[in-house]
Amino acid sequence: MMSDDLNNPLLKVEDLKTYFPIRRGVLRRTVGHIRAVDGVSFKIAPGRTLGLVGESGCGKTTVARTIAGLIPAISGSVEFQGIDILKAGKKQLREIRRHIAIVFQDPYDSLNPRMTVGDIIAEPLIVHRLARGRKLTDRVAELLSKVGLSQSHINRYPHEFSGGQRQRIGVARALALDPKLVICDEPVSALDVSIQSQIINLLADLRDRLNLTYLFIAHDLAVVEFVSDFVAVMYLGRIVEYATAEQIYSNPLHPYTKILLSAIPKITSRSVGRGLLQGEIPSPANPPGGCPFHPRCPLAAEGCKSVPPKLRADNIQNEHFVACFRAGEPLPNEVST
Amino acid sequence: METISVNSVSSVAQNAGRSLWSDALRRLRRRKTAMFCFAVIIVYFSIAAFLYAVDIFHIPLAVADWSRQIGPEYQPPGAKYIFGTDFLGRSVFRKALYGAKTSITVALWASLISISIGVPLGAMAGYFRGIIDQLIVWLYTTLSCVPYILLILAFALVLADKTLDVFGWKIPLSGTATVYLAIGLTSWVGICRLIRGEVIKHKNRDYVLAARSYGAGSGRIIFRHLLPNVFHIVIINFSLRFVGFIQAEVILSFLGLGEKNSPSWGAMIDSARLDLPKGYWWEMTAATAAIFVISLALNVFGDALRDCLDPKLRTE
Repeated sequence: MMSDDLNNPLLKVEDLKTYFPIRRGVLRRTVGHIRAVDGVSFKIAPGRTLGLVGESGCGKTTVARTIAGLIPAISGSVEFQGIDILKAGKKQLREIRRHIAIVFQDPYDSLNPRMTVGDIIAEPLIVHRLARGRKLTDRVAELLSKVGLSQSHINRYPHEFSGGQRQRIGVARALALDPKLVICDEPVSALDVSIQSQIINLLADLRDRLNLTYLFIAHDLAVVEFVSDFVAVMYLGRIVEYATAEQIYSNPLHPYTKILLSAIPKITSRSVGRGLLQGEIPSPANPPGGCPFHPRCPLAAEGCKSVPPKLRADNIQNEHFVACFRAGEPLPNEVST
Repeated sequence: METISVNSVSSVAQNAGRSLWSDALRRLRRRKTAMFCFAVIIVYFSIAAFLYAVDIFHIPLAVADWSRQIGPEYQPPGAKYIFGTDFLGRSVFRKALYGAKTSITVALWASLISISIGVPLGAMAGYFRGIIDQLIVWLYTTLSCVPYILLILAFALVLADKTLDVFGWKIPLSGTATVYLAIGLTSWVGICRLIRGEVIKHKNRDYVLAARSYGAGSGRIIFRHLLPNVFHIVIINFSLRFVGFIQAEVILSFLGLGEKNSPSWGAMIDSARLDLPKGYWWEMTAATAAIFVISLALNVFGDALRDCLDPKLRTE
């Protein structure tokens, strides 16, 4: 069933590369590149949610912004309903933008402080000339009630709201154009823990009611577990493991995923892999050769240092892809079963 | 019944929401010194506006006739001659009033000119970057290399007594126009640089990215998102810069490049310069006091305005 959907995906990203030039000196010559996204491929079927996880600086947000057309890519393709966004003309891109919306991370930064809530939510509709006058007001009121805000908030300004309420406004703005794909770029990581679940529930609820497709980015695996059908784990601009949410959590294969999962606090026992991740994520301007994870990997062998592993299907499980030569091997302090 | 109406009024007030502007105004209104200074500024502006009205409608008022001899020359201040008389027996008080008119006219026009050059150029440079940015930065860096007073003097000398030809529409440049054109054309650099920096800062903020993500064009982003978020900088800058414009006008008039047919504080200081050694102190005093009071009021008010509009910069 799921695989059938994937043959006709809503979003298909292939070998996406987004580099940022490093300029130095008086002449601003390009002396190198930050390889923020370095060959990322995935698909999302309509109505499904793909969770994208990884440490800070691994390129999650850059993936999101490249897909939304906010940052130019170096190479690769981003197909939305069969149209390549990276090659689309201005008019086509404008049309596509109606169907892709973003919910930003920081609700204190993503709302224009000089505009009223009503104006903020109405602007996408005005830009695309979809509603005006009475109809526009009605639509804004409808959106406000959809995200659990009152109609009386329409003439207020963002600074009069709490973080959670602001994020609801951001969600309402994202839904204004009836998008098909919503990119949630760490929508809850800037919020209080007590508010996080409210917003996640709201997003999950809206997805089911409006049949939305999510690309859900987070650095918190526990958050992703709740909303995602599939999970992709990113490390240094690459996807290192991709599987259904169930598989990732019950049977992680990549050592990085295992270590990440061990960071989720558990009540019952000390998790395997705890404390195994040493040091910092390497600089994407000068990524290590071979497997990007090898300098920090407890399982790294000689071969890992020279050849980068490709994302390949795991033999045993369907729809479980992993980029590791030693996938599935137990970590040093893991009791093998 | 009464409680219901009160409730409905307060709920309407609540729903209206408070913008950052009205928030800032509320903070400003609570500052007594700032409001007093604002009143002083209003008085100066009213004098200027009143004298314009007198000139336009030819209202026969004694006060408005500054060039008439009202008594013997060099009369000290007293009950009969408020600020005394000058070397031609004219009222120093009336000349000081007309000086306010000249100064405020010049400062207002100079502000308008430098805002309308500096703000669009700064916003364009900051938003588009690339070659446009480089050109604009080159232009203002070049301008700001020249010492300020020299540059104003050069502009004033070139523009003096010229006739401006705008699409066949000939505008003779009066002394006042020369002064404000010279000041306006040279003083946009500061605001341009400020706006450019602010726009660069704001343009990568999430709310601008959000606007781009749903397809808002450059014009909409600049006018609906960026300019409203940087415009308080323009206001703060000009409440403080206004003093500089008034002083520039005084300096130019003092040097004889300004208005010749109407009194100005600069010209008053220039003519009183030779009287001072003889003990005729009142013309000098009247002109400098007039400048001092408005400078102080504008500075205090500008500081308060900055504190209220940009709480991050608050100094106290």
